[in-house]
Amino acid sequence: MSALPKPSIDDYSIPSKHYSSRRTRYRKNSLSSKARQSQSKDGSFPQSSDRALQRSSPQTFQFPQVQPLPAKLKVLLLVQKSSLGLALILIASSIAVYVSTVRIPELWSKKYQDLETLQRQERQLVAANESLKHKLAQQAQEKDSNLALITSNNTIFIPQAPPSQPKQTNLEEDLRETSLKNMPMGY
Amino acid sequence: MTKPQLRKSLRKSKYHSSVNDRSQRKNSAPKQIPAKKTFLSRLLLVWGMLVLSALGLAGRLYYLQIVNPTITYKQAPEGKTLKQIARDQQSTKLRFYMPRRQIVDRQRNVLAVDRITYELYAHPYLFKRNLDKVPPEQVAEKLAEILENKTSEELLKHFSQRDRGIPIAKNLPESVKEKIEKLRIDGLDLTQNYSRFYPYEEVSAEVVGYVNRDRQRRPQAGVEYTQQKLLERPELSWLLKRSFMIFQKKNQSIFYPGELKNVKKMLKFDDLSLQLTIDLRLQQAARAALKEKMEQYKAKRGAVIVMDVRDGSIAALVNEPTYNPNFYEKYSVELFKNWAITDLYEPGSTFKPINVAIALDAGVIKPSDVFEDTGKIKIDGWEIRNHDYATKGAHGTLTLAEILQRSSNVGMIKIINRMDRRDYYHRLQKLGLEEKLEFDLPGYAPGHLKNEIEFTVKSIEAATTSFGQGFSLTPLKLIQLHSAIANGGKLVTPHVVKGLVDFNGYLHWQPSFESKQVFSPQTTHSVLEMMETVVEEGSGQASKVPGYRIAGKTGTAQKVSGGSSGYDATAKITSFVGIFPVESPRYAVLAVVDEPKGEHTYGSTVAAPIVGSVIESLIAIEGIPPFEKGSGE
Repeated sequence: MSALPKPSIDDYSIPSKHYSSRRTRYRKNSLSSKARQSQSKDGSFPQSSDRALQRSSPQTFQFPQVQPLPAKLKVLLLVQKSSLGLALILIASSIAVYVSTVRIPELWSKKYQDLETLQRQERQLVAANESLKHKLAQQAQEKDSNLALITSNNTIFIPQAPPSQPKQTNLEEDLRETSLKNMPMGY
Repeated sequence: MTKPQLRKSLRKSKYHSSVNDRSQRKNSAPKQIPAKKTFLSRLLLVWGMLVLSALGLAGRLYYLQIVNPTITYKQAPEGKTLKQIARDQQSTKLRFYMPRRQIVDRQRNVLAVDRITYELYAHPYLFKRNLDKVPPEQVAEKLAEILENKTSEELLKHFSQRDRGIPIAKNLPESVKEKIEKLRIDGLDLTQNYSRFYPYEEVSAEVVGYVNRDRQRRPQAGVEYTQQKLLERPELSWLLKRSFMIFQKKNQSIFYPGELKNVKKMLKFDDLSLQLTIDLRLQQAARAALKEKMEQYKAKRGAVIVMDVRDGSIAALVNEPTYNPNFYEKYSVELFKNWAITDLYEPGSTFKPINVAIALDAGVIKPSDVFEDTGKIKIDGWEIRNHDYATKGAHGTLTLAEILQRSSNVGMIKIINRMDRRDYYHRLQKLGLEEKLEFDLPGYAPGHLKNEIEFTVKSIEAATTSFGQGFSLTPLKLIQLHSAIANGGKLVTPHVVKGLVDFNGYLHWQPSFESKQVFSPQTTHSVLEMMETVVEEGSGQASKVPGYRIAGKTGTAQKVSGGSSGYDATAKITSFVGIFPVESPRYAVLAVVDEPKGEHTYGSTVAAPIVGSVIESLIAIEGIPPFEKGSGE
């Protein structure tokens, strides 16, 4: 921050004045009528009705007095605008109703059926797997199965190894060894 | 035209028309009077009728809603209010079956699981394929191909009984259901059911038990019966508005539980299963060993119990003969009870080590004491002999270990004679012989001692009790007492339920068991060493496994006969109890064989080899290394 040159107050003050003056003018325009906003922005006024006024009083600039829109038109405009909003709300709500009454139950029930199928399959798999294990065990028990039983005679018991002692190492010796190893043989 | 102008013109035209009307009415008035009257009366009539019928309807509505709100016409269920009928029509009851929990063994092999089965019903009046009628003969033929145990003639006979709702077959597996569906014949109705399936058939039947195959699914035996609360998951059901929650789409019914509360209820399940302490491999090995000896001696029945002496968990519990729980209806009711738990027997010599422990604890004998065995002894006018008196006569001076090795009755009587009979009786009671034991399998029978007065007055009672006759207990109780000798004197609670285990093998619930000290550790240690000599040098050599230290005691008891004379001369009950490994006891193994036939039927020849092979299997399953001298205890 400190490296940047501090902006002088004047740099800002001049355009701000400019803006404020323009804004006031704009506000005056807008007071006349909402319908004429777009026209008053670029400063050009309708010629036909206002020319007489300009001529009669060239000294003072007078804004054209626009007649307010008829009430019916206003109502119609309001209806148009609100119906658009209403339509949007209706579309949204109908989608919401569809989703909540048709789509969600559909998805939910599909997923639940999947879950049930999976659970059923799991149980079937468990039953099949265990039956197979039982069959194998039965076959192994038959005398001519040629399978040897595990007994203490044919089992190797490996005694538990004593806990290994951590090797005592000398850091200096280790370092010396490695440094000798890395030394080129010719020197 | 401006607006005012327009209004004016409208007014004018109205005015004109009204003038015209008036002139017309004036002209025709005298002729129209009767017509007007009839018109009015007609109008009144129609109006009156409408009003009357509306009033009637309102009255009927009032009557139905308030005066008598029950409907009596045929279609409506009797005695129901309109509100109830409306609710019935607008909503439907949904039922969701929650499968019963699985039962798994120590290694999580599944011993019992729920399986979907189907019931087949036939409605002959509906027999159709693609709207064409199918003759019942053809249906019977096709069905007979699928159902193995029915012929087409039998099926035809079934079909001729009624025109609808004929039960054809039960417990059909999924594969059969698919085959029947492929026939695409209307009028064959399959209803889904759940039934319990036991993949290991009879291997663990005496522990697991079975569940009735009817709709109530009532458990009948074993853990299924006692652990009903843990195993059963209640069926979910609630009323659901039919309006939009359920509808059909592409042959697939769609439903939605609606409220979040219901969804939560439906999805509230777990994968917990009931784990038993049973080891299936050991169970299988024990059964094989027991079966072999029972066939050899044509025995009536037999039982093997393997108990972990440290906590009383039972690793194997085998009864022979047994049943296959998948077809329980084919067996006699006798087999469903677990006789190792429900039937009392006189333990005979297998009880001698317990008596020695009692005497040592009472301080009347020392491990180094010796007793004079005269071969026979007279008590209360009864002559009691050793089992081998006829062949060997008097044994002479015997140590405590030798009394056990030779299973000397005289020696035992002399040990117990040193005790006050009343004290002896109370010490027997302290072992819980007569107490009820809360066991995980139904029907445990408490043991039976003579009453205290009889016991203390007659010396014969204490004498017979000293060698294990004159009182009775279950094999389960006997192994519990021997476990106390093995584990340093603690009377542990025998149990088969380990707890509720999840898919990863973590226990989520565990029952807690009490244990109480009944012998001092010094006593049990010396008794255990005496019992080891029984296997090394005495009657229990058949149970020896080279390289391992095994303690044991044989028993050959006479059976109480039905008559008043007392004992049956021919019927014996042979048993052997083994404790292993002696250096740090882990398992007690009891084998009991009832009524073996033929010569040389003793605990040492019939039961001891069974225990020997069970211990062999235990070594293999648990990987117990042989005892090395100097390795320490």
